[in-house]
Amino acid sequence: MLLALFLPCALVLWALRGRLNLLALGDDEARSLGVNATRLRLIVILASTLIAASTVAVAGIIGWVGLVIPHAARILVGADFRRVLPAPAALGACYLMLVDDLARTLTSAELPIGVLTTIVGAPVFALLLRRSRLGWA
Amino acid sequence: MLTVADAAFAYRAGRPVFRNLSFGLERGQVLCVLGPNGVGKSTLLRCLAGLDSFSAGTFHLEGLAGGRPNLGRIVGFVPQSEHSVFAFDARTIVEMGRAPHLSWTAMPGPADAAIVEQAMTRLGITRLASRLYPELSGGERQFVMIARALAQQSRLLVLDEPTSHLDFAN
Repeated sequence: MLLALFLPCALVLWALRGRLNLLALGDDEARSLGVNATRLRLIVILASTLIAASTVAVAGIIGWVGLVIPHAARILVGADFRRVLPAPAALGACYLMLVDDLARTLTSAELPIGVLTTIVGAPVFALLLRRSRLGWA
Repeated sequence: MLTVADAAFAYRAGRPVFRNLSFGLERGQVLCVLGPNGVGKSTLLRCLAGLDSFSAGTFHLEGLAGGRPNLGRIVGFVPQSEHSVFAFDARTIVEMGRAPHLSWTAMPGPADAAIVEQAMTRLGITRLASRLYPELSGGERQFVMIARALAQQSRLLVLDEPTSHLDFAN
């Protein structure tokens, strides 16, 4: 599953990283810069949906990660997709390793990891929302 | 290089914004369109920039006919509207002007960086290069947009209200 779907889609997004910035400008401006925004958006949505779907198929649903990590990464590295693409991947991996360790060791019975991500995620997201002036909105 | 003959445009059929419009432009010439608000100047410019199409008449722009032309290499467009964008720094915005010269998966190289630098130097805005676009003033943003259009190295530059937000010295 990861090999067949995740990897190719991730490579597609990575290959397009230089173009993704242009989508942030809006369709008209993207067009006047020679980019077909509709087509690009379709490819990006398709690729990211397949990535999300294949990840969930492997790991199950773990809430509050996709909401918090990309925003945190944006605050760390700025808006440029050449950095925004890899940063949340690395940050999210570190975060999940940490939370998974906690879930296995906090109590004698293993906690569901979703419980922990929600406890961490919800307040962090509220905090991020309040700081939304930082430019990711 | 550019010919417009008997052109018209209508957002709704039967209510043309303008009609019977004819003019031509040679390489290096500057044309300035003046008129009261709401008369259709921006609409005309959007047609010239290829974002809308004239509903009647003929429109010929060198390089635009035949095949699948890359609009961004032929026309550089500085729109009038100003909207918020993500927090890119000014250099990244100007660098986007190189997009029409790059393939879908290519990254801007040293040659592109030189062109970007040159465009910013020409307008005297190199000091803004690493400032974030949303934090710039209206006039500084206008300069960045014009620099981006210059970096496109297009044959035709279409500027909508290019002097808005600029002070008298500019």
